[in-house]
Amino acid sequence: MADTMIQFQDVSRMYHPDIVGVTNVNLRIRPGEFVSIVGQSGTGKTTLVKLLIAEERPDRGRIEIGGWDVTRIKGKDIPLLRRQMGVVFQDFKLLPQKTIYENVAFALEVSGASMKRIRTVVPQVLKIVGLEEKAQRYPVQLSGGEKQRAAIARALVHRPKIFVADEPTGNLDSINTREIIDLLVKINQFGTTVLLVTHNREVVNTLRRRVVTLDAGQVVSDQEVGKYLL
Amino acid sequence: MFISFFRVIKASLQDFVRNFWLSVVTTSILALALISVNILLVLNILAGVALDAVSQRISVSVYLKPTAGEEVVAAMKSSLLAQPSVMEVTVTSADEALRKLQERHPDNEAIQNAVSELGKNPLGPSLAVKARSTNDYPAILASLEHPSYAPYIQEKNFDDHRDLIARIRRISEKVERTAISVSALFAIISLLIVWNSIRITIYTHREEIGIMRLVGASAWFIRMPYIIEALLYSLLGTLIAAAVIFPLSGAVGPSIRNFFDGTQFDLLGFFEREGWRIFGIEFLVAAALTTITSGIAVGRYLKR
Repeated sequence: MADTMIQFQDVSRMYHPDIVGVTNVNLRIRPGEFVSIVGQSGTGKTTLVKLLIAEERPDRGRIEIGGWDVTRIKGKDIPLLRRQMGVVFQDFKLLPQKTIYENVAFALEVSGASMKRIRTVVPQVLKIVGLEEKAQRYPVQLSGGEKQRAAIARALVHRPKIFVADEPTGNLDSINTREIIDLLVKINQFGTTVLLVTHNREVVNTLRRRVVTLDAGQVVSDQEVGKYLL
Repeated sequence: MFISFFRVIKASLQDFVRNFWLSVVTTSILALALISVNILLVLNILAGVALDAVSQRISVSVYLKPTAGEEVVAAMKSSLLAQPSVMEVTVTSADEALRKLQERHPDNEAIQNAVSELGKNPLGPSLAVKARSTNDYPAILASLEHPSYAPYIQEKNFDDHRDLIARIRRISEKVERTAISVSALFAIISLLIVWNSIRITIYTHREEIGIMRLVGASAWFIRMPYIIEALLYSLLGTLIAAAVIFPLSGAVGPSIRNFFDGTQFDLLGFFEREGWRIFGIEFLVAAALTTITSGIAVGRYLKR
């Protein structure tokens, strides 16, 4: 389906017979949408992200990304899938022994991009996130907000069609949170599908975009212009 | 492919330098393990040298009757030297034997008078036989039982040496067995130390491996820098071990020669001759061990 970017069909993931990750999730996300996945801790938000990036496989159901069935994806194809998506996490996941420039460039290097392309694209994305002046610093020399912007730059460098942010503001103060959310909105305005996983009520309520609410591993609400319900 | 290979090399060198202390610790452990292996190797060689030194002091004397003429002595000497197990045969003529006897006991009147009263030399010639190995003496002496020589033989003092030779053989076998056991034990300990230090090194990188996977790095791209780094550890560890062992051999060589009372064994010369082979093999073993360990350890975190 050309009007579907991500589709979850009856997806379930159990960790033990009595520990539910997600259960019977049905979700269709269109290209260019900005969707917030909300819910309290332990409701399956991060499981959904892990399933999406093929870090885990569902016990049941089917997940399609751009028409590609990632449920049966082969191990050697997982890096290809991940290069199509930009993912950021609460703990930034930057390589500590590399500078910010090298962290961003690394995402291109692994895909075999030419030196010329790296030298052109990396400064551009660092400029978008406002880190061009700090390109030669190491992650430990940056503030939390700057680290998250560096992680966003790295996720953007492939020009992904899907951008997944798993609790990106969890470790940030309100000013940095606002900056990061503005950056995600900007990314979405370029046409990228954005999935924001959060339990930050204020962020979700001010965005006024589609909100999918999870509770006990199930989708309990899906509103086109929603609010944080729980 | 070439550009990826270049990036892998660059990443491994960068990682080696940026994780400087971790690299220093891992390389030091490897170097210490290799130095220990080399010291054990030297001790094994010295044990052999010591046994050789003692063995070479043993010779078996064959005393001939005074009737044995020069041609018989020469024939027996040639026959003995023709045997590969014989290292050296020294002939003492009858006259020389008498002179040595008189020199040895200048104040013993009984001996001096007896020789004068006899009016002729009562001693026969003798042969001192040195074998290459103490194990060869019985066979060498058996060869003298040949009918052409047996009638001229007065006495063989092999029986006097039999106990000593047997004791040396027993010690030699025991030393050899102990050396093999200690070497095997040491090799296993060294392998375990190196194996674990590489595993710990990779363990400290586990989060980085996870991050590399998340940004879409292939298993090859993640694994190769660690394998190249392991090769670097092995190369540097071997070079450091060689840099310690060579001067050490030069320094302790004279003491070893003095200790073994002028033995010809040259420790530095030994390493100069065999060093390429010894350190080459050690590098290959260390490289195989560290790269396999790295590959397996990284593989564990790639699956997560």
